[in-house]
Amino acid sequence: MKKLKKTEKPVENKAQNKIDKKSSKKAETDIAKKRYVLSDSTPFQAKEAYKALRTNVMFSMPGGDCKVVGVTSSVPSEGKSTTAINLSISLAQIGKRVLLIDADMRIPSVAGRMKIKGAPGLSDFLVGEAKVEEAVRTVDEYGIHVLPAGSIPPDPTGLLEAKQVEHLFSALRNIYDFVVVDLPPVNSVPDAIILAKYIDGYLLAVREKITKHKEVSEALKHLHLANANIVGFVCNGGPRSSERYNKRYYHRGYYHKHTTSEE
Amino acid sequence: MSEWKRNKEEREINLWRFVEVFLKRVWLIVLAAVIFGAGGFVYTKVAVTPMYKSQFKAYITNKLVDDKTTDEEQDVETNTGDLNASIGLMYLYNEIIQSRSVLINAAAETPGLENYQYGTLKNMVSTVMPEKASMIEVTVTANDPETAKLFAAAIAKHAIARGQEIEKRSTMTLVDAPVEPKAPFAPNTLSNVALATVIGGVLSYVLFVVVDLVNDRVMDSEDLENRYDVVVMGRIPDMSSASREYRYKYRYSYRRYNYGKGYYKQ
Repeated sequence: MKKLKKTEKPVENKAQNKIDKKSSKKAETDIAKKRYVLSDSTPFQAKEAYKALRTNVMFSMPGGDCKVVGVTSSVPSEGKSTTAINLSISLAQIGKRVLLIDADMRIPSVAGRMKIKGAPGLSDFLVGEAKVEEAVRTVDEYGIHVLPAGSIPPDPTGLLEAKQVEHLFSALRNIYDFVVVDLPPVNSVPDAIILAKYIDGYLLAVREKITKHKEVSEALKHLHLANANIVGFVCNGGPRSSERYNKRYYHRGYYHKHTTSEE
Repeated sequence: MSEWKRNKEEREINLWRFVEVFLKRVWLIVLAAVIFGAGGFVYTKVAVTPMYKSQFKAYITNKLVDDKTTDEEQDVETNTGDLNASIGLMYLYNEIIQSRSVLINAAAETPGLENYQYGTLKNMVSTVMPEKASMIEVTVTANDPETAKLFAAAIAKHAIARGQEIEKRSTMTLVDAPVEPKAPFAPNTLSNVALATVIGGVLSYVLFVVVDLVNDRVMDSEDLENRYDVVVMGRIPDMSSASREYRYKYRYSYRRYNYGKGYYKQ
């Protein structure tokens, strides 16, 4: 094989460089967004964290029946939708039949992240404009079913108090192993509390160094007054290097040595 | 139904937390200390007027030696009473040196101090009388070395004259004449900078501690478990840091690719 020789300095194509930089930035943004949804490109520690969450949820809600898990938070932007989505995907990865419901009919986000149409969805079903079979979509990429929020109604709270909700959950319990419900923040609107009678356990998402204790206390008070079963907290946003357990058992050499052989 | 307990009104503060605050912010504390130290240095050099000291020492006695007194007569007349009287004269001359007449007259002969008030002049002069010695040490402080020396010399001259007017049998003899100081005695730049550095470090640390104590945010999962009777089911790392890793890897391969394009030729 001929050896390549250095001859001259590279000729810089500035126009091409600009195009390449733009496309790389877009690629980075797409990748960054994708990374928040569990996939092959998700960092290893995040995958393991969701596996641990999945295991804890399963063991804290024993029994063979369908489990309805509600994921909420005290205030917006604490990672409850991400938690709901990734918990659903993680449960599906071990062969469970999972339905993810986007019950946040004010600011729905699940449909966009799952790349499915937002309507018809839960609100359309509750007003009688769509059937459940039309509203529930299958997302083959992640192996879950998704019931998006649907068209944004003028009174989501009133819709959730309808009788159809009871029928819906009763029917879903016969079909799925887990129903994960992405709920709006507890302190903002009462929607999460209204569904307390249908939800077997609540996960309260909290973001480290962002969420205030006052807000968490208020959220717990609301849930307690509704006789909700609080399964536990999900703490989002911790730095990856701070976990001693991860440092000891999942340092680079160990990880690369073992995953290359397993993959 | 899981139980939850009310948020505690009394919080337990772990003393280790103070160490954690320091370790977490050590570089900021060091930076604050350095900034304060630099500020102290600048302040010392720019804002503080250097002060100079000029001193003289004088011996005070009650023996008035004149041409008519022989050496034998001087020796015979010296006794314990004379020595005690000298000490008393020392206190007298201490008052004479700080008197209005001496200071005003001395200031009149010193360029720059002609219009100074008596109070200001008195603050510029300090005296020390060592024990068991008929000596007085006078220190004059001024913001100019020549002024300090001239004022000290003028004080010595007028104090001697005024003392002999008041107590004829007394005399004040200069042991060390005042000299012009070569360097200011104040401010002490090194001690000012050191003090400012320490103050900066301590203030910044106290500020960080206060901010940490009043911080009502959830710090980590342990904080949640300590405060509430609810388990933390999962601790999800910050996945956005992963996108930074990707950017680094992508740019590295991007640069290699670009160099490969026109750099190597067969």
